[in-house]
Amino acid sequence: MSRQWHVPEPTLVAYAVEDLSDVDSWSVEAHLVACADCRAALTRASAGTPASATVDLVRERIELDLPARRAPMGWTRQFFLVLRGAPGARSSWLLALGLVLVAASLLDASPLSKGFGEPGTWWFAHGSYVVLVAPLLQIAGVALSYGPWIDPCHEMTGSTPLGGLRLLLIRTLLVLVTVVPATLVIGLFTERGTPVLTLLPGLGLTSLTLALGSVVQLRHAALVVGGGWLTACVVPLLVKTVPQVLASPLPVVWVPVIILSSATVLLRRRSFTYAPQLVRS
Amino acid sequence: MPQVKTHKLVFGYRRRQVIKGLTLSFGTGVHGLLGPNGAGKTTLMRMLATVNRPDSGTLTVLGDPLSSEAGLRSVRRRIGYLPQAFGFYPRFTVREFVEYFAWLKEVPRGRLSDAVDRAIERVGLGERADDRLKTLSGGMLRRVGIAQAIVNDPEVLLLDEPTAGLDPEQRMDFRVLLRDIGRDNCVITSTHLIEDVAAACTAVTLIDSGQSVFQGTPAQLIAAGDPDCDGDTPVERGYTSVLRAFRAAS
Repeated sequence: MSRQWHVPEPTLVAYAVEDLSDVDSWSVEAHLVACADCRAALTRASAGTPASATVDLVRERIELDLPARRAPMGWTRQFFLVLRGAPGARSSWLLALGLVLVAASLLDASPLSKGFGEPGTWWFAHGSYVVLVAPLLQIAGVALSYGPWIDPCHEMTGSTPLGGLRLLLIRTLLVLVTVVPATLVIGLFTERGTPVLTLLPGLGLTSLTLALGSVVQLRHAALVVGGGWLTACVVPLLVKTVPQVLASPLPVVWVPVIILSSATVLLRRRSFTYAPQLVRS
Repeated sequence: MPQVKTHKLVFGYRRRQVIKGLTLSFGTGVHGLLGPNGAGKTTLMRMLATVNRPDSGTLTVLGDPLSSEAGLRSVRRRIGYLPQAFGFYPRFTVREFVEYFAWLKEVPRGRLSDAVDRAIERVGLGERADDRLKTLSGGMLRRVGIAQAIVNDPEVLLLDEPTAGLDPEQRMDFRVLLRDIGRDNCVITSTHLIEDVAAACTAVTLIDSGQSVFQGTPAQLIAAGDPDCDGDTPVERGYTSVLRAFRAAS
C-alpha cells in the first residue's frame, strides 16, 4: 500500500527528543507502525539524540548474550570433509594406490616387461603396466567408496538429497582426482605409456562399472568389469603377445563405451535412489 | 493435513512380506511407534525415511507423493532420520560429522556452521564438539546421531530406537527435546520402551506383523487396557490388551 503522507522531518526530530505533546506522539507512533519509510527517517533524525544512545546500549547488551555468529564454512574445509567421508579415500587406500603404481613402474623397468616386444618396437621402449593397473585402481576405488557393505553411514546418506547417485558421482570424481594425476605424473617420469593410453580405458571401465552398478550391486559390477579387463590384458601377455588395449588408445572402442555407459547411468538413475543399492536387506 | 500419510503400504524382502497394507497418518506432534520384535517397525521407518521404496501402496510425505525425482529430493531436504543401526566415521569429530550431514542435506553454506553448532548444543554435546567419535560412549554416539538428524530443522523427524544406550537422565533430556521439536513438527519415534511413549508422546501407533493395530492418544491406549491383562503400568496393560484382541481377531 502506498502512502501519500509522511511525518515531516521537524516533527520526527521533535518526537526523537521527546519534545512532542502526548497526543501528537501517539499519532506519530500509529503511523510509524505502518510506515517503514518513516521508521527509517526516524532512525536518521534521531542520530546523536539520547534516545539513539539508549537504543545502541540495549543492542550492545543483547548481542553480549547472543552466541557469536560463526563464519560460513570455507571451501577447503568442505572439500576435505567430503573427501574424508568417502571410505575409499582413507590413508590405507592411498597407500595401496601408491604401492600398486610403484610396483607397476618397477615392472616396466624390468627385463620381464621388455621381453614381450622386440628391441626397436613401441612396446619395448614405451609399453607400461601402469596402463593395465590404472583402470583397475579406479574401479576398485569406486567400489570401495560407496555401498552398504563399505560405508557405515550408507543408510543415513540414503535419506538425504545428496545421497544415491549424486554422492556416488561425487565420490567417483574424488577417486579419479587421486588416481589420474598419479598415473600421469608417473608416465611423465618414466616416459612410458601415454596420457591418452592411460586415460581412455580408465574412464571407459569406470563408467561401465557405474552403468552395470545400476543393474547389480556396485561391488559385483566392479568385479565383473575388473575381471574382464584383467583377462583381456593378462591372457595375451601369458602367451607373450602385447594386447592391443595396452599398446593403442583405441578411441573407436572407448569413446562409444564412455558415451553409452554414461547414458545408461543417466537413464537408470532411479535405481540408485532406493534399495537394493541403498540398504542391505 | 498430516505430514506423513501411508495408504495400503506393502513391502517385502524377497518373498517374505514384512509390511502388509499399512494405512496410517502422522500429523504434528510426537508419535510413538510401538510393536513387538519383527512387527516391521524398522522396515516402516526406512520407507518413511525414503530409504526403501514401497512395493505397492502410496506414501505421501509433506504433501508429496514421492513420484518424481525432484519431489523426492525436496522432501529429503526437509526430513531427518536416525536409523536403528547407527553407523559413523570413527575419525570424524562430532562437529565434522554433523557438518558432513548438513552438507548432504543441502543446508545453505551461510547457515551451515550455526545450524551445526545449534544441533550439537541441543543434544548436549557442546563440550565434546571437537572430540573424535571413536572416543565417545555409546550414549553420546546416539546423541550425535540425533544431532545429524535435526541439523536441517526437519519438518518430519524419524528416530528408530533413539533411546537405546541412553541413561535415565539422558532419556529425560531427550524427551524434552522431542516435545520441543514436536510442538511444530511431526516426530515419529519407534521404541521398545512403552514408558517412553507415555512420558513423551502425544500419539501412539501400534503395529503387529506388518499390520496396523492401533492409532490414537496414549490416554486412549490406557483406556483400552483390560485390568486383568499383563503389565505393570496402565500403558503396558493397554498395549497387551490391544495386541491380544488384535491377534484373537486375525
